Amino acid sequence: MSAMSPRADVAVSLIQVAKSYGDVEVLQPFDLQVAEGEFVVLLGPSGCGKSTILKMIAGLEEVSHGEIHVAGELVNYVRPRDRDVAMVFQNYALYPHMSVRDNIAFPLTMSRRPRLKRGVIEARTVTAADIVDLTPYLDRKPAQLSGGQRQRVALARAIIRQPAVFLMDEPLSNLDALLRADMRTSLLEVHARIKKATLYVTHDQIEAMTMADRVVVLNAGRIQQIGRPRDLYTAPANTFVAQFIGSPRMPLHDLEVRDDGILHFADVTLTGDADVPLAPGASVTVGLRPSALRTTSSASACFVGEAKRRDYLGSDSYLEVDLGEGLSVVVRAEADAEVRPGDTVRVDADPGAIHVFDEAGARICGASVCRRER
Amino acid sequence: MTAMHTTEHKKRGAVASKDRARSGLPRSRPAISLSYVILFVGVAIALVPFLYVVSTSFKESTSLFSYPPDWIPSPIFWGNFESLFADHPFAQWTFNTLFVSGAVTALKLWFDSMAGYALAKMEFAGRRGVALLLLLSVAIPISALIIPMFFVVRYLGLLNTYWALILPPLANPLGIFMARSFIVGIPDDLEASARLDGASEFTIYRKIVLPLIRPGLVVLGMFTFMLQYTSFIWPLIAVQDSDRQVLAVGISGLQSAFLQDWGLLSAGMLAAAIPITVVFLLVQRAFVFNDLSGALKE
Amino acid sequence: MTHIDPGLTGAQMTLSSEEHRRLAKRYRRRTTLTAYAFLGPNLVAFVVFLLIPVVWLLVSTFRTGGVLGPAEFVGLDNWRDTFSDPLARTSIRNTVLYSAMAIPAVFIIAMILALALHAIPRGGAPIRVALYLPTLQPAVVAAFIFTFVLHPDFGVINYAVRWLGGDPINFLGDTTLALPTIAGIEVWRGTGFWTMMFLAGLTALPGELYHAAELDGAGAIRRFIRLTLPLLRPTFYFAVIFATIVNLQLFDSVFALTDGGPVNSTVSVSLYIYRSLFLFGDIGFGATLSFLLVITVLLLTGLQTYLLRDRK
Repeated sequence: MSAMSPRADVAVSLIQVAKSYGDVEVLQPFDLQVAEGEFVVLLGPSGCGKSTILKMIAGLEEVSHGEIHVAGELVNYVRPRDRDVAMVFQNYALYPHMSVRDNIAFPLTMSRRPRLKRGVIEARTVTAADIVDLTPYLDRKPAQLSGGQRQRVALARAIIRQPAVFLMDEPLSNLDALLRADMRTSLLEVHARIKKATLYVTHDQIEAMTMADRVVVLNAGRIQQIGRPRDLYTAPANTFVAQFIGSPRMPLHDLEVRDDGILHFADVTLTGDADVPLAPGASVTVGLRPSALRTTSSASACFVGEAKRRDYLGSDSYLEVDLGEGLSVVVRAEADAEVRPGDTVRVDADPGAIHVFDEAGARICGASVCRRER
Repeated sequence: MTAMHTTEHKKRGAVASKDRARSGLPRSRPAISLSYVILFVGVAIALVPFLYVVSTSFKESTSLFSYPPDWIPSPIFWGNFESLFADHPFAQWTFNTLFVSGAVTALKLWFDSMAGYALAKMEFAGRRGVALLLLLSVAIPISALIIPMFFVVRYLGLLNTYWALILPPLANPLGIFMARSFIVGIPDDLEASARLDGASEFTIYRKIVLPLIRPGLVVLGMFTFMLQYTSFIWPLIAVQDSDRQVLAVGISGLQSAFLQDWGLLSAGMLAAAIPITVVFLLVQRAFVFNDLSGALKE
Repeated sequence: MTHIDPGLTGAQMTLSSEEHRRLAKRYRRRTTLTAYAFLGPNLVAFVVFLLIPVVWLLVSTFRTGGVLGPAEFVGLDNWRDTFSDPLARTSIRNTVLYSAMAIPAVFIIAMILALALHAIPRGGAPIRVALYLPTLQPAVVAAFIFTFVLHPDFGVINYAVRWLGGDPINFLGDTTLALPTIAGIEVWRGTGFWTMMFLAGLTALPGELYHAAELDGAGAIRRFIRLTLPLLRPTFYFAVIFATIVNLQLFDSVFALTDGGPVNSTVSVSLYIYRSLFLFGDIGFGATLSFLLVITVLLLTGLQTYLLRDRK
């Protein structure tokens, strides 16, 4: 194909891909490239269009606009079975009338060119089952397995195909919390072992932050940000990402930049860390990340306010601190710090705690410097 | 919900339904007793008429009209059955009926499940139109079509053949909607997964869809077989040749042709009831009389 | 971990939008062809044995002849003949009357039996088989069986009548009794089928609702009217439509027992259609009557669909 064709070491390439049903646009045009061996997580609230992206790559949904390339080949008009992708579904999608063995072997028995010998299929089935620790369960039916085991069958069925790309649609969301953490580790182990490009859909930010090489944050059919987990946390592209990543949720405050180009926040001033100073009179939104704020006894604290509410989390606790003028922040405190509502609290901010967004919600800069007024 | 474990679902459904039987409706002692009384009366009314048939079929015509009627024939007379098989092609009728009903059932289950799969799961141009057309024609009474059907079949040169009996019933679209309602219950991800795993549409149909809707197909099959076994007006018209005729028409001929030989007629009715009863008892175990009513839900 | 060369994110589409349109159309055409391949056998049967006959019917209502001589266009003559034919009207009246008697009766009896079957803790299986036996008989067989049951001399019903001191009743020889009798035979035959149908509907009902209703102190009859009947609406919808279609085609038992008599009191539309073809060979007339039957059933099922629609 033409010289514009995506590079071969890119496993999946989406170019100006968009999806609409009739007049309803569910996905705005976007670009995304996934490298060989990369683990990319599509993260967003339900209904944001993340599963639709997987289904388009798999060929289960038509692409309304744009091109999808898998392993350097345009696949828009290639049947799902010829796309060299394997998918793991949220509900596992195991064939209930077949044994675990037949479920795992199914993709190989479907293979026509080349048609595989029974011995080969059996050997590869056993290998795949071994990778996911299912060997003792090969002769059971899916109904006789636990949720985690079912999920591993689905994984083995994807592995056995040796596809160019793995697609996983919320594979862990039907498991309970404990099992989910285990399965996260096993998934990463399997990924480290087979090193294939993986697109993983989830609404769980912990899954995204712990597993991903890169995260694609989506909301309402639009890509909000593409970046490494660390980038999303330290430099959220907009208020949506800032609030979606990180727990507890980042409080936001709408402010106006004064005529002197300085941002006044309660009784302190914030100075943007961008090269260009903030425009006087501009309306901005300021967010302070709770996990980067902490209580201090130092007299040089950034903020001083009154404690209002305390959430005890075990490892630490979070305080809501009223700074006056209708402004408040949420601050991390020692788990057993003795703070009662009404107490005066001093707050220090780590670098990267404060983010300034423009009126449309896009990030302008951080505001790392803070100084007590008066 | 992990709706994909349809078989598991079914098993649990069976247990749950027993549960419901206890929880749902009156289960006080008097209510249960009353229910048994009602059912006893119902069973009696359903079965007593058959006693006439059994009794009469073993009587000689001359001893039929004794009054008051004696229920137990003495001596037992086998002549009616002998005459049935010797003087009439009764064995042939039985074979014809079983063959035609079996063929119609097999073909309809096959075709209807294929069409049901397309309507339930495939996106294609004209899908709404096709579905609406088929749904409308569910309401077309077949006996209103006997005249044109007669000419169509005659035009095709099929009068007096098995084909005349087998092909026209295939046009009835009701089974498509029943099959579709079974298939709609299969989670989309299951076929999506198979599609990605390299299965063709036909393979998905054969290896995934068919096994999963088997309980429904048993019911639909019995339903089709029964409708076919009891059909009358169309065989009456399409087949003149007695050797190609089906039981229902053949038996009615026993009566009109030989004035009222009640013994012979009863023997015919009794013998004709046996195959379908056996078929019914055979599938009865697998026959959780399923809700077919989902077929017309839109 | 490998990271994407930023230059790559500017990758351009490799095909023009015309090429995309062309390929998308071809791809869609392939899925559509697959779907029609699955529908194929049915559609062929549908066209040959349903669509063509219906169109043929419509055309024939405006023509005459066709069996011996060539067909001839006669305009609305057949329609005029059919509407002015008293026997045609009688046949329609009989058929509708028969359905109006048979359907409610069989539904009520079947519902009672289904509720009873649903209530009993054990013994259901043999009872179901026994109730189903009449349904397995062809209608003509059911009709013949009832000539025994109704026989003036040795039928069990007249035996009872005589025992009570009455005169034997000639059920099928009486102009007012013949049609209800035919309906009664169909009720006997159909009860098993509808019992199983309703039982299946009852079994599928959610138990939790009943628990709630019971806790609310609703009595059995109240529960049945307020909960069971509305919840069975889909089952009833199917039942009413299906029973209407089947019963308006009344033919077999009339053909076997009365041949329309006495004095045309049991002539059904289907019987008259049959006669018009095989007795007097008047195809135009028969086609018009057939077409009327088609329209009647379509309108009735349409009306039922409207009345039983989901009013949520």
